[in-house]
Amino acid sequence: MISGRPVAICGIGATEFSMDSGRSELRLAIEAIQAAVADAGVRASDIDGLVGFTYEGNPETSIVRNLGIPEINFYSRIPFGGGAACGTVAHAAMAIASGVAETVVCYRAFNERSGQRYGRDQGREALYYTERWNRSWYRAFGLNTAAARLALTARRYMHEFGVTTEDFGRVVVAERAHAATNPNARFYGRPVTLEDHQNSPWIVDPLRKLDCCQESDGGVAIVVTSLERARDLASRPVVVRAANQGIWQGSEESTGYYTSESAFLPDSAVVARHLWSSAGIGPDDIQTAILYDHFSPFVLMQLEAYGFCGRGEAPAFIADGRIGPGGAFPINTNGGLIGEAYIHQMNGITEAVRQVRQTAANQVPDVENVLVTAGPGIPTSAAILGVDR
Amino acid sequence: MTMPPVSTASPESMPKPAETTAAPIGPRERPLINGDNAYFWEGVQERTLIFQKCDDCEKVRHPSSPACPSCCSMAWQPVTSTGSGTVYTFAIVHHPQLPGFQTPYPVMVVEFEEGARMALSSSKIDGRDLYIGAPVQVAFKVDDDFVYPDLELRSLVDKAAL
Repeated sequence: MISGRPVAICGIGATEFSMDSGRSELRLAIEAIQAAVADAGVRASDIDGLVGFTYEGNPETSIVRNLGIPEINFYSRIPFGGGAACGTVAHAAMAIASGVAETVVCYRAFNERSGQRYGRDQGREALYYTERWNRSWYRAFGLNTAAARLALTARRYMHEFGVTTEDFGRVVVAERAHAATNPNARFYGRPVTLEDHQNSPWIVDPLRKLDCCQESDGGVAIVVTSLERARDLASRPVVVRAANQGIWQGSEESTGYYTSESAFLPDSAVVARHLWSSAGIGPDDIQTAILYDHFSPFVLMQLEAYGFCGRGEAPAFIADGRIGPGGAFPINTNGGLIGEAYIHQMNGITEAVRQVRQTAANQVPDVENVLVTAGPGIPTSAAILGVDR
Repeated sequence: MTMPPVSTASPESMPKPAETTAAPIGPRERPLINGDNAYFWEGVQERTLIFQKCDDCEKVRHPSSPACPSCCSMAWQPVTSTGSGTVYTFAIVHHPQLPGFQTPYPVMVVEFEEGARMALSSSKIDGRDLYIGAPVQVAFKVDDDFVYPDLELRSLVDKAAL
């Protein structure tokens, strides 16, 4: 639970999402932060804190220099790839609630499609020193991509509950339907059918190409400040009701296969427990959710881990079109990482902000609270964003 | 001496990284070995599969760790596995291509008789024959003068013995 001053997101910004940005990752970061600062109605020189990913290529020093920020006195980075996304908001919120910082920017920018692609082998030099030894247990056996490592978890989930690849396909169809009506999405105007999904080639069986998120170029930034200050700024404040991280004992970065809980996203369960307790609300109080979808089966598993339905019930829960456009519980309304873009879910956080502001392309009616999650199957994080009352 | 010309390239005209679509060449990437896992790879070079067994709580563990995840004891002994286990989960890798692996190749988490689980690949099993619970047996495969654990289906091993 975050005690201290209430915290809000006061600005969001992004570059266009593409497969080839044609410019440097640093330039993408600067453009995204400038857009977020303008959206908030603050000056870049007001920024006194930065939070990023350990995977981020743009160091804080470059951000400060290029944005004319005189000084910052708070900065942190979150490890574990896409599991970091909502952890950036958690760190920013703690810094602001405690009075350490006033205006914190969370950012992520990369040329992940035209530069180094995560769908290919990154090489072990991309890993931190100790993590190279951990990952070596998997690289020695050809488990060099997230798709390969997480396909093992997806298969076990299928086995536990008789889940089929058609169940995965129904997630993809819903997400691509949302992307089809989101002009910022790569797959704008390009919905898919369940048949398209079933005809999609294997990447790592049981994951088909259409089950996998995109690879994208782009930058996203989020400005976080106190709720009190946010109320005096340009955009409608979006309250951070809760933001939490979680690692459980059996966790590894996408390879936590060693306990009976491995198919149930135990890191997500840790985050969920703290998140609901911290926010003082539950799944019934959420009108829409942006659930990290590096691979479609993990949307089903997160619906269970965050308590929207029971274990093994997600395929039935979504079978009636509940999570798609016009459904009772639309999720990943931007199209998700599968349909919109893969900016490590920082674009998912901005979609959650738009849903609270009532400015989303696929706006859900009467939104009070939105759940947004970071990468599951790895140490992860999540946040609940809500309307200022 | 002439200085190389100063680049006037704007970010918009930056050269793109080369696409790496060519078939992978070279040997399989060797594992990293340190004081925590040397027992394992030394055992594999001798064609044995070795796990750690805690001296205090007697639990068998993998991947290797200095301390026991169950009781935190740092005292342990090597235990030689029978190499016999069952498939806990599996997948079949079609992409990307990697040096030393022929796609599609199966990868799996095997639950060994000693109680430890380990992620492994197989050059011998057809992925279409795999299912969760399938009995498998460790075999070994040499690649670039280094021995790796491999797997075969135990039913086929048993038939060959008859």
